[in-house]
Formats: sequence, C-alpha cells, structure tokens
Amino acid sequence: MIEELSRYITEDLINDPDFGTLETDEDLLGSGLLDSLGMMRLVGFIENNYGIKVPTEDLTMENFMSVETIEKYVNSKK
Amino acid sequence: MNSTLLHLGEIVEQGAKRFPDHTAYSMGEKRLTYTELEKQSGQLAATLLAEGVQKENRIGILAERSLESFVSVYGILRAGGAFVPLDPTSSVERMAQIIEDANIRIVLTTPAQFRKLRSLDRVLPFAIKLIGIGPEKLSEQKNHTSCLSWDELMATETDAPVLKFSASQLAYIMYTSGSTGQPKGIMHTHRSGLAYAERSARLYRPGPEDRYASHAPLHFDICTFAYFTAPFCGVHTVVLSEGETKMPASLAQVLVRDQITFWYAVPLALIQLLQPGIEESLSQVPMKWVLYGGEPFAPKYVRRLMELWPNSTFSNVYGPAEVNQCTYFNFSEPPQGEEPIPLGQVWADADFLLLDPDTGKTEGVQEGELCIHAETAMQGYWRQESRNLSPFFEANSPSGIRKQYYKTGDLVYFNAHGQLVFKGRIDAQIKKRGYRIDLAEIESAALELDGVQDAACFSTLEGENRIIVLTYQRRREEEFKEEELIEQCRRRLPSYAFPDRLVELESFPRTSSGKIIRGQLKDWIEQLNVHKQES
Repeated sequence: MIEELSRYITEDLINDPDFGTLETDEDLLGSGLLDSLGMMRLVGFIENNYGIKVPTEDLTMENFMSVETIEKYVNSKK
Repeated sequence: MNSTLLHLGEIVEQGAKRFPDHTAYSMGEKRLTYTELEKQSGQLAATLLAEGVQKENRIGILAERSLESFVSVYGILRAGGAFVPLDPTSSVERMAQIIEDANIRIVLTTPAQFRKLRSLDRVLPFAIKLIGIGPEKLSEQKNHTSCLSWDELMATETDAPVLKFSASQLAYIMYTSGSTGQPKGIMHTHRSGLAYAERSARLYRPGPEDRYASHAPLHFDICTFAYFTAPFCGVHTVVLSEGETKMPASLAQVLVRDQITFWYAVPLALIQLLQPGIEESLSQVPMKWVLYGGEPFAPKYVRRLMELWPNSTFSNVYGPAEVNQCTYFNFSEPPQGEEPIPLGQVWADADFLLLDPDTGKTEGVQEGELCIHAETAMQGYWRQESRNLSPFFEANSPSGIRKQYYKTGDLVYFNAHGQLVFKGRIDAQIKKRGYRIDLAEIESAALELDGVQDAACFSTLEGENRIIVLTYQRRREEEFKEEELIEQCRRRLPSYAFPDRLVELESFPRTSSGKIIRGQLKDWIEQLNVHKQES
C-alpha cells in the first residue's frame, strides 16, 4: 500500500518530473506538497482503492500527515 | 490604543514594552512572547544590515505558515528593507519572475521549503542568499547560494539597529496576478501599513485578551491583520499551520483548543467546517468577531454560524489589496432572506466616488465603479510607469479638493438603507442580446439552495453566440437534483440571464487563498473532459 500511495501522490498529484523520491515520513501538508484539492483527490483515491469510507471527522492532520500515517489509518479502518 | 507610530517596526518595539511576557504568536506548542519577537527580529535586522541590505531593498519571504515568517517580516522592516511574500504553492517559474521583477537578492525561508528551493535554483539565472535553511539539503545547487540557518541566526548576539525612517518609505510589496500574466507588485509604505493597523484597530478593538486565528497565507492581503493589527493591539495570534488549514477536523480542534475569539478569513475557510461530525464542536469556541472578505458569504452559512456562535459579531470586510480595507458592514443579527450582505459603508478617513462606467461622471451617481482615496492605499504598482499601469485617476473629492482615486474595478450601488452593495466586477458584466447581465447575480441565486456548496459563473463565445455557463459544486451530504437548480434560476432571474449550461464540478480552480479563479473555469472544464475521455 505504501508503494501504491507514494506512486499515486508523486505521479498523479505532484506530477513534477524533477521531484525525486517521496520519503514515507515526509510531511505532505506542512511544506505544501499537496493543496486542499490534492488532499480531496487523495481521500477519493483511498476510498475507491481500499474500500473504506472516510468520515469528515477523520479528516485530520494526524491521519493524513504522511504516507506512513495514511497506511496506519487505512489499516485501522479495514 | 497607541499614539501614532512613525514606522511599522515600532509595533514590536512598543509591544515588547507594553506586553513583554504576553504571547505575540503561537503555533501548537511553540510560542513567541512580545519580548522574544522584538529580540529575534532585531537579531535578524542586524544580520541583514551586515549583509549589506539598504533602505527599501526588497527581501523575499518563502515560507509556509510559521512563526519564522512573522520574525522575518519584522526583521526586514527594522533593517529598513521591504518584504515580499512569495507564495510557496506557486510554480517556481512564477516565483523566479517575481524575484527578478523586484530585484530580490536575499530570501528568508525555512527548512520545509527545500524542494521548492532546489527547483527554484534550476530556473533562477542568478545567485541569491538564503537565510533560514542550512546547506545540508541544498548540496547540489548550481548557484552556490550561501545559506544561514535559523539556529545560527539566533546565536548571533547583536542588538537591533537604530535607523531613521520616513513614512513614505517602501515597507512591502504584495504580488497579485495581472490580467496580462505578468504579476503586478502592490507597493505599500510604512504610512499605508500603519494607517491600516490603526484604522482596523479602532474599528474592531481587539486586545491582549483576544486570541486571533491567522488563517490567510502570507502573500494574501488578509494576512496584514496578523502582521500589523494584531501585534499593534497586543493580541495573541494563533498561527494556523498548513495542515490545519487543509484538514477541517484539525482546524475545528485548534479553534476549540486555543479558545479563539477573533477570526478573519475567506468564507470558504469556515464553510468547510459546516459538516456533520465537525460543526458540533464549534459551539465550544468563544468567538466574538468573525471578519470575512475576498468573496461574498452566502447568508445560509452565516445563519448557521451565528447559531453556533450566538455572541459573535460578523463584519463584511471589503477592499482590494491596493487599498487594504475600505468598507465594512458589522452585524450581530442573522441576515434575513437570501439577499447578498451589503458592503456597508466606507470607513472613516477615506473618500470615495462612484464612477459611471458609461458616462465617466461621478456626480449624483447611484450605481457605478467604486473609487477610493485613503491613507491605507498603496503608493502604486512596482514599475508601473514602464508598464502603462495607471490604477489612479484624479477627480474632485466631495469636499472639492483634487485627489487621486484608486479604481477598484468593482460595481456597487446604494440600497434603500443607504448602504453600499456589491454588484459584481466590471469585467464580470456581460452583454447578451443587448441585455446587461451580472454574472454574480446568477451565482448568488444558485447559492440560495441548500444543496449547492459553491457556484461560479462565466461567459464565453461559442461560435457567434455568447453563452453563460453556471458551474456548481453540491454539498457532500445533501440530496440534490439539477432540476432544482434550473427551477431556482427560473424563479430568481430574468429570462435573458438564464445560464445556457449547467456544469457540476467536484472542485473549483482556486487561488492559494481560496478564491475561485473564474478566468480559469473554462480551461478547467475542458481539462476535466479530456481526462474523462482518456479514462
């Protein structure tokens, strides 16, 4: 899942050929890698691919800070 | 309230004397007292002078929402320089364009910006000095940009320089997108910045007992309240992080945790909190003032927020970045009906005229382009002469004196209560089959429906025909059918103003401050269609 998430984020959301590699603990929100729209698309991707529903109260930094925390969150919802 | 200050740096110098141990800015667990803010910005100012910074030199700030960015603002000001906020979410090409345009040679930044700085290095044709990031993450830079970290900076033992300032000295430049694609730099002086701090302080009277949530990004003019007004009044500013502004559930948690009393942002920032599972907690926030600007706030959302915050007063703040604020409408009672909330009145010490766009007259005009003369207005656009930008025009003021007025580009009219009401952008007025139509009116009709989260209208030529396209986003939890929207347009609009096409969108193209970019809607939809066909 980590690989899949990283690929989706770098290829579909960031889409910058010079980007390099995304660290799994890299802060997706703090440095502006993803904007609000990117975050919404990421939530949609997660809902479609992992068969979970993300309720609005789960839209927190703790859950969506990095690829690692997202993986942990998704597993806790399965 | 302070006596009149001579320059913006005095805000923190006075603050350190009046509120030494009070928090000036905090972010999560981190905080800066007024004494610390004065000391750190003084160290930065001394460092900048040692780097050769001279009066009115432009210095960039490339930072996420952070405590460092506020230290940067005051460090630059107290060194006599002018700060230029760079939008970290913009492309590096645009960033480089601004750096070249403003002739910036020093950029204050943070370690979190290392990726942006690496890419910037690739497109920038000359070397710049970076302060606020160590060299570790930037080893492959071709420009050999020298680096100094925040820790190194704060280890310097230097006192704040004592400089002479003039009120007309350049203090900051905020860049806005020009219609030609070339960014336009709005130049503000110490005088216009202080005028805004004093005027807004007198109108809203925030104080040391308040906790102000700073939501706007640094390059957006709403942020001048956090830069200047809040510390001018000894307010504790809670700087919301990038993550908190993007994750609604986290934002609500902070508002509760830090017991926010004072708020100023675009409406969208609060609208995203009005969702089941999040909005319930808002009643634990002791909100006193909700200032909003940038876009109209649909009355249905204001009513809901006023239910949650029964002791709050709302203020519709209006004013292009060129003049800071210029009108206000304060209200504590929920708006009745769905009529747009008025702009209210022009604030004290500002003169205004309504300019009839057809006749060019300014006398006896009841509806026209709002033109403002005020102490809070910019000096002009950076290098406006060489670009043929003439934002001002000269006219007789109501008292008969010749003055320079800034043309806002916004159409306003007086309602029956003598309040100014926003009608739309002059360039959002279109003519279709001879009828003049305001696209903003169509949007506000659509927004009256509960099922519509947001709406934006544009007009385009299809062959020979001018058509109106209404785009809208539905609310996540509402049952909503497009027929309701069609019915609503029939009910509320004259037949010649019916949109020719409705397009449902999942999101809008927005500026980094949250405003919908109407000029990009057409391309946005076309790109979505291409994606659909591909998949």
